[in-house]
Amino acid sequence: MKMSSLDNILAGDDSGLVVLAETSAEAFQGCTSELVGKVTEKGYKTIIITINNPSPILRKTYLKSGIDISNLYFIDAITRYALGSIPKDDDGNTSYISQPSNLTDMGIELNKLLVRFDGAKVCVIIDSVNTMLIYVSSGTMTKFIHFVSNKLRLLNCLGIFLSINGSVDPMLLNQLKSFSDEFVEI
Amino acid sequence: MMKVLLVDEEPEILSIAEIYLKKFGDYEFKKALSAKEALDLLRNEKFDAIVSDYEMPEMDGLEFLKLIREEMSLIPFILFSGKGREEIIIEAFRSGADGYVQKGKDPLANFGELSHQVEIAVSRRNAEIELRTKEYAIEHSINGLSIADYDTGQIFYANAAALDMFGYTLDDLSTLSTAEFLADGNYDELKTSIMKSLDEDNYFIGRIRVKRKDGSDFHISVSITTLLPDELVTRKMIFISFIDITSVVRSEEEFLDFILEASRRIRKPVSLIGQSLEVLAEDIDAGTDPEIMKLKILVLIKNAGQIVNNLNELNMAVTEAHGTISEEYKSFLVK
Repeated sequence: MKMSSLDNILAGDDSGLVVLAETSAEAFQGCTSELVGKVTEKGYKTIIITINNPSPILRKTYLKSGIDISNLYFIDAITRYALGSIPKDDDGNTSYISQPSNLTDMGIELNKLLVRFDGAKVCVIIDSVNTMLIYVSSGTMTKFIHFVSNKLRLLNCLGIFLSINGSVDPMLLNQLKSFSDEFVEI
Repeated sequence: MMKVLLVDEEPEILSIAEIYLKKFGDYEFKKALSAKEALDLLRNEKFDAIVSDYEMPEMDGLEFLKLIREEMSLIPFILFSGKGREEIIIEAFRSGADGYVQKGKDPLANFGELSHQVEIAVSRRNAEIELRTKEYAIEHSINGLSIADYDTGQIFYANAAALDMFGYTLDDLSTLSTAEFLADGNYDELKTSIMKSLDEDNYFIGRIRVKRKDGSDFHISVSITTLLPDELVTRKMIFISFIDITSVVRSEEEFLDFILEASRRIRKPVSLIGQSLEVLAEDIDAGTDPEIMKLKILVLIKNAGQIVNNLNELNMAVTEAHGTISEEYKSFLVK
């Protein structure tokens, strides 16, 4: 796993930095766990916007990887949509969005959390731009990513947008890169 | 067969004219003993030419001619008169006569000349009509049409559509060269390509981006044909025909964007689902909690359902909800 470049970013002044992180499909699950582990170790309150994996699965995966999940917060846009209901074992640190295409609610929930964590070190991870593309047009998605990037920069938060390599065409990838301060392959 | 109206106050002259003229050509005749009678016939029938005497009661041949020309009729008119006075001849031509033949003593020679003049006048008028028709078609064509010098590109002619498309006036033309219209940065390359095609095939067909007088640009589909010199036109020229295809180009670009978007929202997500299923297969081998696997499967089902929706949207958009793909998009789909 090539986490060194991301390590370099996390070692420096990463406040207000927006990173587009690309990984292979095979390594995706392991990479995201390691990434979340590194970010939480650095003392970040980490908000994971997930459209890809339901938060209950991610929570279990992270626990299994030995990650302290007490500072993890999820904006989960897939579980309620897939299950048709909110899981019973909800820990209160998750906001469930009705469906992945509901970017307005996603933005509202993100705003609420950012206000709640005002003054703290905050990292926002989007998992993932590929899955988002199933539910919204690339134009809508890039607008959302652009909105989030600007918001995070203004609030000096770290943003990491995950993407599986090869599944976003070069034209769109370049557009996403233009919204980001760093592009890393992990 | 040429249909000729013969007008003379003397019936004998009319009969003789009919007999003799038929020796020289394929004619059909109608006869009138006065200009008034002739005008009545002209109101109801079409003729190829009029042969009229000068001296007639009530209205002479010149008055008759003037009346016809006033009514905007350009029908060939030959004055066939016993009078050979110079002032009548001059007045006849001033009034729009196409020929003048003086009645003579040798009928064969006299009517031979008259027939010849009728033939010339009719063929000249037909040529004028043909030329006028072509000019009219060129001038009113919705295609931009222009003619330029092969070597220098200097423009001699541009029709109204061409001027309108580029925002120029006729007065601008003398200062313009075809090179000034190209909007593409790779001008030299484009010019070389066009000249090579003209040299080898005498024509060029393509799409190019051009600029208007105000500097804004647009796309045209253009065909350029080499006009080789002949006896009359001694210099080599090019004939340029074009049409504004900006909306077509925009539509094609939008459609390409749409296809790209379809790839983003269908092909690549399907590939991601395949990869997720591989992970699930590994989960089964690893004895993963069935509840987690169930949740993953539910997510994949939703993703797959959304992709089907995306596909339906694409189908509706491409077929414009009519079930058939429009011709303009077919070429893209088979690429």
